[in-house]
Amino acid sequence: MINLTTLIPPILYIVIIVGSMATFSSLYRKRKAQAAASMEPWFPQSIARDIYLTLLHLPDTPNPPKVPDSVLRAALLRRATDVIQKAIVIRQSKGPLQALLQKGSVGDDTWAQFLKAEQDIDAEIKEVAEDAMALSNQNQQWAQFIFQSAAEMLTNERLRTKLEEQNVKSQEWSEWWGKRNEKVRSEFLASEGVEEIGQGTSVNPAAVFTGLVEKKAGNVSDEDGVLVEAEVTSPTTPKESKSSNKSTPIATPTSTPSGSVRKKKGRK
Amino acid sequence: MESFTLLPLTIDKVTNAVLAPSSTPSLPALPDAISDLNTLHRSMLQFENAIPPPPGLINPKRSAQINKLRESGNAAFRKQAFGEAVKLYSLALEMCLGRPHWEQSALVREESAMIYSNRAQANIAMRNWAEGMCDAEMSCGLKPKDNVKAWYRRALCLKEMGKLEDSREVLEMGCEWEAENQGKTDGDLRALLRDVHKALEEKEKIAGAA
Repeated sequence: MINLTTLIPPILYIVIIVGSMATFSSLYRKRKAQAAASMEPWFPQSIARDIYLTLLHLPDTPNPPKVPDSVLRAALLRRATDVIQKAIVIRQSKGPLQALLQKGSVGDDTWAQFLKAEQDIDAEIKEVAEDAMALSNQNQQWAQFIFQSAAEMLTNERLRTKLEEQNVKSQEWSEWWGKRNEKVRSEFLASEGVEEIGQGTSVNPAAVFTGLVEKKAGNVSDEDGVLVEAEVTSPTTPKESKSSNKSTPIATPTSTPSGSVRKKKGRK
Repeated sequence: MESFTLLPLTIDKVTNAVLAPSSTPSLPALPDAISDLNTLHRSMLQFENAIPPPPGLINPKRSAQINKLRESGNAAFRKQAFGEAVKLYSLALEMCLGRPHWEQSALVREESAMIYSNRAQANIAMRNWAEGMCDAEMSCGLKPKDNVKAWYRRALCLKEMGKLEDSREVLEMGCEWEAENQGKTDGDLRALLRDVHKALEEKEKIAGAA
């Protein structure tokens, strides 16, 4: 017969160990959950997601409007585009962030934040795929290609934005060129004297053409300004004549061929 | 992620468009997002069940129209009606860039690069160097490889505008991109590069003399 009193210490020992472990684990988990909840989200709140979920839950609100499936599909596609964009960001930043973490440039909390964002995105992708499945019909399994479409939409949108930027740049260029053309033309006309002024008024291709010739002449004038000046009888300097020329409307010289000939002369 | 913000959205009964209150100070991006959504919705309605097809499937009608416009632009160019050609190319471009966004962007790139390059040519013919340069630059940006003509046109326009250094830079970049086609199609490019080098040297000489 074993003495019960000898069993008390080991049992007590086990109880204390297990109990302290349980308390520690529950506290630790609670704190971790708290930290996760209070963690700043990696991405700002997604408006596409909010719109989709709002539309999805509209029937639950008082006096529900009818939400057609097509609207839901459009909203889901928008959301999928949004998710894809985030997934790409996550995938691209994972490697560099890991390197930074190893070097110690980034704290553990940032890494935890990142991992949570990754999990969230994975969950959202799954969610979108499920919803796409629910919204597709028998012939078309939308879940199989909604992300393809979404990724394509993303690239297309980026492409359009770039083109838009380029367009702005183009406009700047043509403005610059137009101004410069005008300036060079007036200088050229001034150095030509006033006798040729007063013929063409409207802008036509020919005018642009002469603009080129004049510009060339103006451009070359750095190199062989003497030659250009030599053909020209009036000795006025461009600056003086420019101001005197201002009152006269900008016009094209009489004939373009002579201009081009002059240009060639200037080159020799 | 378990919660979301319920937005004050309603749905128009007739048009099925999503409506948002006109002023949402807390969410400045909402009106844009809603208008994007409605545009997308309208363009999706053409399909059965409003499901856009996978990116591989292309609307053949639009492609045909773009091709037709481009062809007529080419015809106008051959007839030396350059203004007309530019107009037709611009229309083709509009059609091309108006492709629904779920269609392949690679196709848009390819098509618009070609049209931009053609329009640059027409602009060059009219001696609109600035416009020609911009069009050619677009084309190069969209499709840097196997696009010798666009590189050439861009450099030519820059040269004509007196931007010799820029022109040389563009030509060198173009030669790099076209390295595979060396000796086959890039003859013009290299000839122009030689010209530009010569012009630059002359300019330097004159600057030195002065």
